[in-house]
Amino acid sequence: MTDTVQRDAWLVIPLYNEGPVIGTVVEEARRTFPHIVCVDDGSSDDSADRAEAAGAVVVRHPINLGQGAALQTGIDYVVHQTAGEFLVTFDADGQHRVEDAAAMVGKARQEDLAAVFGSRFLDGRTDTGWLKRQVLRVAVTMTNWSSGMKLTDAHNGLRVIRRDLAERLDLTQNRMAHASEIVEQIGDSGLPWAEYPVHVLYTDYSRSKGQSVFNSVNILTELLFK
Amino acid sequence: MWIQVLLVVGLVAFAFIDLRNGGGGARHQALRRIGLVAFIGLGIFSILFPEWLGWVAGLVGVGRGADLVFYALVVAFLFYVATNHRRFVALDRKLTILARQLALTEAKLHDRHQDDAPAGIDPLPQDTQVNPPDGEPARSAVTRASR
Repeated sequence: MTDTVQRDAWLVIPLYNEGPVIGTVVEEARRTFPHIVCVDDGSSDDSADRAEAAGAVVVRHPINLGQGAALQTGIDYVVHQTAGEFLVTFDADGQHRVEDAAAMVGKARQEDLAAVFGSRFLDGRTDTGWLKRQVLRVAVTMTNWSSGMKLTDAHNGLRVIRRDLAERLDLTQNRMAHASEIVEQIGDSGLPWAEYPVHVLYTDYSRSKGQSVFNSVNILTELLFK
Repeated sequence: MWIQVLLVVGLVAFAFIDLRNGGGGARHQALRRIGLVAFIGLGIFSILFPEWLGWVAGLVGVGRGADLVFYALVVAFLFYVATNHRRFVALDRKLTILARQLALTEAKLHDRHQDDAPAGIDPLPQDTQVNPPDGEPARSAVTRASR
């Protein structure tokens, strides 16, 4: 575990029906990131209460709006209601490693970067399935094409965004296409960015939600018809 | 024929309802109303003189007047889907902004409430509102990342 406490960074966690794991995820992350905001996107389970009990600030959408909308709400919260210098987007299902997030903030600080994207494909640690890998490859190609950037992984939920950049973001894609929308807006900002190799843990829990294939279909259609 | 009466009454009723509930800008609304009146006029004309519709159909190379109406209906339906989709997206956007504002306001009230509470209840409230960048951890994070 990392021993560095990130006091000027806020973890932004979009939260939707992750009751079984969110408590643990928040508790573990808080050892490194004392400031966490969970944006509960109208969960029908007790996700929000568990996140709050674990010590996160919880912003509650009155209705389900989608992950992109939740992210933008979290960004607005950090920009307007805190003095945090960095925000880190983090998935609620525990697939990201807190060490990676902390190292990414360190990299942004050290190299004066406005954005650091986590990438599963900079090294061989993350074991994505074949189909998912192909879909992500298509997604990243299309995102690079529309944003003029050169990323290796466009749909990774782990990103570090500095305050000045966060202030400029305005995500309007409420569902999955927000991932490429973020990349496009960061590209348009002209601010410096980098990628950082991260390890994504596909746990039994995240697999049991069975989203990978359906999500892939959704990502592709939303990219095509946004 | 009875069918003619029924169709004419139906068209007029539709026009009446639609003209009253117009939305959008003044220009858009006016164009819509002109178009609608023309449409109703043509509709009534075609119902009373079905031969005329057949003649128009022949003119554009469609076999029967009924087929022409059907094709026009398909196009009109697609237009309806497209405009409705745009309206839905715009509405969705407004709803998102509204819901986000509500959520953030609620969070702000909650934070303020915690700040008012006696010290010691929550270890983080002051930090939660304002946390000035902390030099010490910042530097150690840099050395960590540089390894």
